[in-house]
Amino acid sequence: MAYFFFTEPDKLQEIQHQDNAYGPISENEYRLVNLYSATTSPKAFAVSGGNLLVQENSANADLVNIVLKPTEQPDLDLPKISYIIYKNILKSSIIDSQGIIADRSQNTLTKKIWESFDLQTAAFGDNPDVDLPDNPLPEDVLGYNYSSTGTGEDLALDSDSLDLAFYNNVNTLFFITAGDYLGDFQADKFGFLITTEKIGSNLSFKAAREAETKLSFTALSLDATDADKFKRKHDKEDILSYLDSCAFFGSFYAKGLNVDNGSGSDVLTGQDLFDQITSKHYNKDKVYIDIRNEYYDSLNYYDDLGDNLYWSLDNTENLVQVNYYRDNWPVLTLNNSEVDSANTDKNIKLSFIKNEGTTPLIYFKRAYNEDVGIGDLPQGKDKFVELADETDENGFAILPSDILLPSLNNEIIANYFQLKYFSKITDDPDETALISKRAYPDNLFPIFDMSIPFNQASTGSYFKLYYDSSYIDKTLVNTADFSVNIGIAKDPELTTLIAFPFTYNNNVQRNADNIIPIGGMEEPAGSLFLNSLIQKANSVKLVKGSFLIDGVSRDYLKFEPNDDNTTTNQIGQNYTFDDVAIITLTDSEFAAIKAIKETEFPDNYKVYLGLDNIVAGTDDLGVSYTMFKYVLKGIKEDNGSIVQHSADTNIDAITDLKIIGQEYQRNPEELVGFVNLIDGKTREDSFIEKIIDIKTVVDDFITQIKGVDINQPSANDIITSIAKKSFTLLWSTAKTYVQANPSNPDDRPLYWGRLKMQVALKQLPFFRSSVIGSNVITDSPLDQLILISEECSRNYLNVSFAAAPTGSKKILVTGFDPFSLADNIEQSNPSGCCALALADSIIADNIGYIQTMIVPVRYPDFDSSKSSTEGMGTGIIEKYVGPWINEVDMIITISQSLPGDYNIDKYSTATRRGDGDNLNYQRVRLSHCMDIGDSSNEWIITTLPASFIVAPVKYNWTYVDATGAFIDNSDQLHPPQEGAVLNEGSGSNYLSNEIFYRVAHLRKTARPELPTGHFHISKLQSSGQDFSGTQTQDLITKVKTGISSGVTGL
Amino acid sequence: MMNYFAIILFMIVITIQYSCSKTYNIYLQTYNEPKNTPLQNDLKLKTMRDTQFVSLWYTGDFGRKEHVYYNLRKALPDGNYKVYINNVLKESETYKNGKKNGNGSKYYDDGSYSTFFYKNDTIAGVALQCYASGILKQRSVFSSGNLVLVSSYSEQAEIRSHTFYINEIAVRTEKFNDSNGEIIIKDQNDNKNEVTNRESKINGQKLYMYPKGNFIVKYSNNNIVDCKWIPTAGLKN
Repeated sequence: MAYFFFTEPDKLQEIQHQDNAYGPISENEYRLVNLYSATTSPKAFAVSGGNLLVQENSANADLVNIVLKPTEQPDLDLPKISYIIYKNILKSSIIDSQGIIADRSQNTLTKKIWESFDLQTAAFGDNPDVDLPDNPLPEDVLGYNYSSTGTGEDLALDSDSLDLAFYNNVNTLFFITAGDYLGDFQADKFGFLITTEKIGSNLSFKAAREAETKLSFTALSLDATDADKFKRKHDKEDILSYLDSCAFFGSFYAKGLNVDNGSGSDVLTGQDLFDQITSKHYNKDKVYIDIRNEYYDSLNYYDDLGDNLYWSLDNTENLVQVNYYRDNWPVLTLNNSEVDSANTDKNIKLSFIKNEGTTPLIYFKRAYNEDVGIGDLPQGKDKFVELADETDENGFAILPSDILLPSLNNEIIANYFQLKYFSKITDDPDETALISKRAYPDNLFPIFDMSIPFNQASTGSYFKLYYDSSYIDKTLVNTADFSVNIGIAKDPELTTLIAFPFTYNNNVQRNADNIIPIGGMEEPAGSLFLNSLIQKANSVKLVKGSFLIDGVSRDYLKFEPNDDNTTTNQIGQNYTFDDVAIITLTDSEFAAIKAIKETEFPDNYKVYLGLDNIVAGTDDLGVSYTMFKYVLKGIKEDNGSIVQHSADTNIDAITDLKIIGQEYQRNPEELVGFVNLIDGKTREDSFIEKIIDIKTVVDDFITQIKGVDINQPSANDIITSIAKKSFTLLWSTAKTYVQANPSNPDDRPLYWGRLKMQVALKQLPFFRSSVIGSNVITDSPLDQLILISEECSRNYLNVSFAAAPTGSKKILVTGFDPFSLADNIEQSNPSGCCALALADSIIADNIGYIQTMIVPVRYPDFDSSKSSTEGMGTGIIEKYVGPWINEVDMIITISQSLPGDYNIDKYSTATRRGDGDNLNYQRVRLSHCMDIGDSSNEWIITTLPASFIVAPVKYNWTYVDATGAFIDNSDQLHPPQEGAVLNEGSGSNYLSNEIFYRVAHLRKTARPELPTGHFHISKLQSSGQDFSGTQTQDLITKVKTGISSGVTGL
Repeated sequence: MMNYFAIILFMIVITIQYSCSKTYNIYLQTYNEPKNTPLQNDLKLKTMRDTQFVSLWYTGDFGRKEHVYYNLRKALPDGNYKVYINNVLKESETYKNGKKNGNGSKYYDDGSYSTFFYKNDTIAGVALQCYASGILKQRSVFSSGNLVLVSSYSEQAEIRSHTFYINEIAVRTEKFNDSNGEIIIKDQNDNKNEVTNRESKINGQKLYMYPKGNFIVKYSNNNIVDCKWIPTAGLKN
């Protein structure tokens, strides 16, 4: 946006006197305005478009001050300009002696007001219902009615916020455009003041009325306590809401500033700008290096980052200490004289404190750096520069990118830089610090300092947004981190706090949330902020979700993709709201919190809405949630010191969002082989290495996925492609090895290799948003990928009978993963060995052709419930075996039974025992595994042919009825009754029974005559016993013989 | 010469009488020393030599023992075998020609018991199970070693149900309602190929026809006094 210099530069005195310059006057006094003198009364120009307020100058009734609230911001990455004040304007240039707007010939402002008045008169002059004055009055258009002695709506105390005038819906202030001639300054000592937005700071009418604005204190007494000193430090932070206009205009050095030339304006840059504008300021060669902490205070406001930093101004590696507060004020300035003339690059090397265990990064809110070069400000990711890993002996780490200072003729020129010191969230924050974060929403909202400027009615909806005001680190949550806009909204029902990205550092999921089209909003009566928000975003809808925790339902609000949206939002972006943080409080909750704040905390300091007792878990249905309690966090005085303080609000909240971030934690199945070491290797690795080709597959996979540039748009596709190929190769490699080495048909390398590869996927930073603890979020991108890995490495989808000899019977065989590994880590599962050995095999004389898959020992795979304690439903068997019911001639599920067993189980039951699986998940004892329909499906008998029964294969006729009686029905005198509940089938009531039952249920429903059943085979390893290849080979021979015999009965 | 034959015949008679009347009492005992949960009670033979007659079987899953039971071995010497658990008679079987041949009985914990008949190791004819009171509880009909029909009775000796089986799968159940004597017939098996599609009468007997065969059933009131299973090869539907 085009910005203008505020006056006629030609009339300015050549050199501004130090006593008129913005900046520190003493330890206790700071001038917040630049004062100028001119040869004759210079014109005042609108530096930007905006609304105007005119107030009588409290020092001289012949003078007024003009307050401009810009509607445009300069494209300089500066903090948001909130108000600009022109001090000491000749009143007569705007208001005549009669108290009406001065003649239209005076300036653009009076001209426009009169023209507007004329139009108004023409439109309404004859309307008796419209009471128009005879002349335009400053109180009607310029807010001149506001005074500290006014009454009613005209009353505006010096301490009142200027927002009172600018957000008044009744008396709208006059609007002017950039460059407009507003009036005439007095020649001697006129001023120009710029304020920027800072949460908690409000420019008052006092500044709009006084001739000069200073921040002044009386000196602290010698016996001042630490608390007194902190209070002084805090109060001095007020200067951070102001900008030196010299630095401000100097900041147009590269972009250009419109400057009056007497008959129009010129865009001045570089030397021209310096010669005509900057050089006329006392601070012409002063650069502000304004470094803020994460909370937008000065660097060491909370005494956690130290007053010092190190810099090098001579372009050497020799950094020297500099006190950031060396001027006794919370901003660091640098004069040309300090920069070594030999440093022609005008670079500054900086190092910052890097507290132990922290990962700081510097946000270039506005500063040139060597990565981007002089003239162009870093944008996007370039704004974030992480401090070097190494620290020096003082604990300081180098900022790897030097700051570049604009210069002319080897001398630096005025400018304003702002850096922010952000810290990544750590699992172990410094609890002794005055303020610290445990999670990204923690201490994000200074809830009572975020004020809504609108003149609020009780039925409306109002929203105030503070741009680029903080930082969110979701690195451990979803790999994103970004600077944020934060806002507060009030409507008839809720107080809503919202934060969404302003500039992303990392955004591998490519959320578009940083351009959500909202700013300050004033919505009509009856509107709710969240409704307005989703209407503007259009790609999401707000729905109520519900968790079931310990049997108790807990509702929460969540955003979901709006599949119904038929219209495109204004810029066609699909906002995911993945990185939008929203907290809602009811009126009563807000009132309660406020009461706590007033009781527990002093007025002076910011109080944040914090989070405590953050617990991530899964509900009864396996849905991930995060539960936490709101607390208020801040500081207070305690025996002369400032200490951290927090207060409970007794308000709990629950969300489906991931709040606390951490790397994926191995689940129990993945952990059991990871914690056990042998010869310095994990057992997982030692098993994988038993087949070197498997190790190669695993290693290659991990190398490949770690090498994917997750910042590229196709990262997910690339990882998916690698996974499909590698997990398929894992299965085929295991199968090939076992069949090529019949005396060592080991299924364990496949099992452990799969786990290791899946863990590598789960721990990829790319999928941070898909994991909570050791859970993968349902339907998340990672969840989809894990599904693919299962399908490929268990041969779920690659079963094919295309190679079956003509006329041969098609036989589908399933095996199981190893289990009970906590008891015997060496455990193989002979059924899995069989599956690998028999895959693609042809039974003698081409009478049968076998295809196989291996299934996990995990309830969630069987019933699709992610709950660790309960579940009932269909899963992998229905999904992957089901389609073969009408395609094959026999389905044999195999699992491990007791030593010596080669049983064809007679009865399967729908009832589960529910003992722990490989995830240590359980199911409700004696619950049904699925919806069985009618009671005739309580148990289902095998349909495998009797031709199986050739020693050592025998039928197992036993079952346990509902009374718990164990019954051997080999005499057929006690067949289970139709519809009777069987607590156990012949193969008990664990997952081997369950796979038997599920296949039988599929068969009974779709193709009753299909031979299906369960082959319960011998366990070979006792506790602690290692795998025996030869014993397993013998077992496989027996199984194949049994199947061969069974096929003859088809 | 006569004496010689007489002696031989006497010896044969003695031998036959001896072998047929030989009773083998086998004693088992439960003990509560599970070596491997969830097996609650294990069994052991009081006399190790009885292992030649009885085998102990365990059921379990995933390598864990869960239940134990015994079976009389096959090919035992001819004689009568009585199995006791904790000194309570549980089973009596007759072996001839090394196989189960003849009457047998089993005794259950609730006092009920069953009697049955084996022919060459195959259960045959009709097996009866009675309540502890002696009232008939269940009547099972076998054909070629396969269960064909189970009729169940209440403790008041009222018929409760008839269930017909094909290949161990119940294909038809006739239930008799307690309160009003209503008969509820259900072709309850979802096995589509086994659902009867025809029902007829032959000489006052009912004919239930299935693809794999037919039941010819003779009723007297609600009782089935005869039930034959004729595989499809014998009668086509």
